[in-house]
Amino acid sequence: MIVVFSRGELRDDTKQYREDKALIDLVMRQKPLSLYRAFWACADIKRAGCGVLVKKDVEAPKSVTRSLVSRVKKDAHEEGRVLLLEFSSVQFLNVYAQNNGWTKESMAKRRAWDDELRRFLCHEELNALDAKDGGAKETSFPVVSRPRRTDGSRKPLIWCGDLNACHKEVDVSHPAFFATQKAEGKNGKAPVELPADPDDRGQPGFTVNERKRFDALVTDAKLVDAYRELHGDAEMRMTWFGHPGVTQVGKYRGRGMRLDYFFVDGGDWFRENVESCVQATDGIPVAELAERPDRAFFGSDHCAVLLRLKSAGGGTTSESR
Amino acid sequence: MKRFFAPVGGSSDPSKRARGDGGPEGDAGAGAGAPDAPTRQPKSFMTWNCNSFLGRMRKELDKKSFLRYVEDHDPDIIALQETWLPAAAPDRYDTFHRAERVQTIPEALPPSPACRRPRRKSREISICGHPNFSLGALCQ
Repeated sequence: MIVVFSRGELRDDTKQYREDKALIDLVMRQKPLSLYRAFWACADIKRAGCGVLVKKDVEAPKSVTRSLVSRVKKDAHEEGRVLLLEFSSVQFLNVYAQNNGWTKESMAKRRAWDDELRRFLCHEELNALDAKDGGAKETSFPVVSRPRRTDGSRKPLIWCGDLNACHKEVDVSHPAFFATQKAEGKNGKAPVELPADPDDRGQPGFTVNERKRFDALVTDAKLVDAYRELHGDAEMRMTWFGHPGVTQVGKYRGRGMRLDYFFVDGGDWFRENVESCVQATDGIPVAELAERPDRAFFGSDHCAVLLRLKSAGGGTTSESR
Repeated sequence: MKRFFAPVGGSSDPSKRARGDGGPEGDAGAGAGAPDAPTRQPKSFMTWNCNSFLGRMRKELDKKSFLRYVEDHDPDIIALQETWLPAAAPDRYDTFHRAERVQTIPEALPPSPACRRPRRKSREISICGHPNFSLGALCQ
């Protein structure tokens, strides 16, 4: 029997799910969220998933896609990790990246995820390479290519989300600590074996292999890390902090990683359009960060990140504040 | 594939949806063709891994601080990750039969107000959900 989930809608077929959905609907009717329209990308089970809320006085997205490899609606990513919205001026990609995990299987899944992203973000670059090799391997794959403007140029991309990888060493609070982390056995079971490749060892998100792939991806796609571009290599600019409250003296306490990013087109576009990029943790003393203050984390283990574009230059009126 | 039944509960009321929905999104370019459709382009973007949107919105403090941040910074777009909200149900057999019970049967057999509740209840526990199917028939 074929089971088809409507991955753009919230589940509501049992009492519990109806109550959950009603709570979300209620929040969406309250100020200030009543000013937004919600787009969801849901997983088939109760985990992962992402959503994008778009202000109602903003142009409605021209298209909403929930997969990096297919435009067909039912091909939405089964864990709801992708939400791509196309506007007239930009395309907005929200992702929740697969965690590398500690096991061989999870690492293979992460590599497949990185590959998917690469096919999407560097579609043209890969095609150019293929043309050089004389083959057309990549084009045979049903790729969702990045939308174009009417003049044929690629639309600027704003790619954000929990990318579950640290780009550089400065993007973790304690590089030596994270580089040497090992899997722990759960419930008395022995931990999983160390990966054979030393570059796969260490904290998921900070392994050498992940960072290599991450860097190659953004370099090839000609994207820049908006926050770093504006703030340089400033230290202790983390967006994720380990367990406070749960374990007051846990080993991740006070240790953070920078996992949430805004990647945008570099070069001229960046200079002409990006006004600011702020992490909610900016300006909060390091000692306080270990507690994950509510004003930056809102109860999550990740803080919020904000990107602001310059309001339209050249006299075009814009209602933005 | 279309889902067979309308969700039960307040959120399916169209009049309520009109005021600020969490409702259906009408996917591609909803309302884009309307003459007075907004054309303003998004200028500010926020991203947050909420580690269960439901969990956050259930806790008063978390919800308050999130809404306050949104209000203060007024982003045009808010990207959320790890919402932990599962997708709408698949079109399964049991879902279909529940829909049949809830929607079609009361219409076909409008009960008097007095007997409505017990009658529906007895149908809920009938084996295959069909009104003509009873345990008595099984015993014969």
